Amino acid sequence: MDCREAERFSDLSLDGETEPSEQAAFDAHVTACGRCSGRFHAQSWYQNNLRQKLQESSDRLEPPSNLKVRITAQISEERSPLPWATPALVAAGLAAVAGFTWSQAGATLDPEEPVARHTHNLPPEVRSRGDVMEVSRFLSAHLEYPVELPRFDEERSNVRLVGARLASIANRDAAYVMYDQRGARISLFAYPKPRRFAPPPGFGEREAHGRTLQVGTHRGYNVVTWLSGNTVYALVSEVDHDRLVELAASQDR
Amino acid sequence: MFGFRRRDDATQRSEFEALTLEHMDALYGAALRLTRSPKDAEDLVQDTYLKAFRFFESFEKGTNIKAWLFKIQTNTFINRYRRKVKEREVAETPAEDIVLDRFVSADQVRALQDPETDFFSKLLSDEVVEALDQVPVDFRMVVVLADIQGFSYKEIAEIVGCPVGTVMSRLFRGRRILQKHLYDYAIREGIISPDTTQEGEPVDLDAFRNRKKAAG
Ligand SMILES: [Zn+2]
Repeated sequence: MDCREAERFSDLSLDGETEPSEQAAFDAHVTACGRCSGRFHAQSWYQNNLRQKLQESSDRLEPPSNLKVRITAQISEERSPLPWATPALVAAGLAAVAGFTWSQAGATLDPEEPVARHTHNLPPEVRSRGDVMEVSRFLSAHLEYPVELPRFDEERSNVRLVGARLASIANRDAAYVMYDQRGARISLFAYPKPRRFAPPPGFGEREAHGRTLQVGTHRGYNVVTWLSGNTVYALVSEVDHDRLVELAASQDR
Repeated sequence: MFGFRRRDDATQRSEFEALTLEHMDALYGAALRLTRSPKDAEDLVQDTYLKAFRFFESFEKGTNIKAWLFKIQTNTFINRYRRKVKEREVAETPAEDIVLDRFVSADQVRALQDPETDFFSKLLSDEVVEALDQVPVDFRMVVVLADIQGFSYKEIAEIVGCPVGTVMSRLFRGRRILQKHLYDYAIREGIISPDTTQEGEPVDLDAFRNRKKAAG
């Protein structure tokens, strides 16, 4: 083993990651080479102290006190990771178990539930056959309020309507409309406006086609949400905010 | 309304919670070092738990649950946040810092080691963390897993999803970058005098050659 190799192996040796034969060669070199011996001891002193400092700071660090509560609440909302019984039960179950965040918080357009529904990625209950007809009919048959679907040029925008299903948001039946943009999922949710209404904290406002949109990120997903009449709309996706704003703006056209 | 829920849901949940919740602090700590944002760290941990619960069936009982959780979290981070973190880092890192081939020499480390210098006792752990946060994210990730969480190279390779050789080179590099930041910090704060650097062995070949030129 030469000096360069010994330098490389010093980390492995300190981490206890050497093979016995490597360790023997390393020890032999360090014993014989004054330069490497000095370097190794300095490095070992440094590394031990550094680890201690890093661990000290990590031990002192405390997660926000409500994180555990949020996690357990989120898990209890989730059904156990076992195969679903039947699609009908899935839909019913979704309606039954949803709604913990908003019903309690009440005051804001909490993006938690739309984002949670989006991550569930459940299959549509109705599939689009190329236009919005089936989806519109399905939604108006099941919901007591009108849902205006964005109308946009599929070819130009590359956004394809996949289908829809019912969901539950803020303890109310909600429309969950699924789109696809070159493999990326975009979910649109529509649900009745809660009694009190405030933009989600941390979201910014954007104007598009005379409509005020709340634009932000929740749990890593991009969210654009707005109010139209007495219905709240929320787009959730991993695609860019600009794209979502475009889609939101196309609702009126 | 919950009648159709499986009876063993509650059992499954409590088993999951008993196994995983004790690692929440560690996951949050690592998430904070990765994202450098308390908000994103919280979201990342929450997402990690949701995914872990959904895939709980695929967890092999008796194997390392902490490593399994870190794998899920690291994966989620890489897929969802890494690009954003990287963009921010490139924007805030001075160009000369991106090429970090000039590591700290053995003599420079020894200058820190000098009992009179007493470097580590003058150094707050927050300052170490600040220096760590400046290490580019791909290197920072393995340093966090090795030096804070104490995972083995093999476990890190599994968590990050790369070969052990890549773990070793990233760890070596990440640690040297961190060392450089701490050394520069020590000089900036007057903990050691920059003079000692002149005596050291050359940090890189160019410096060595330049010095030869100047001397000759
Ligand atoms: Zn040597």
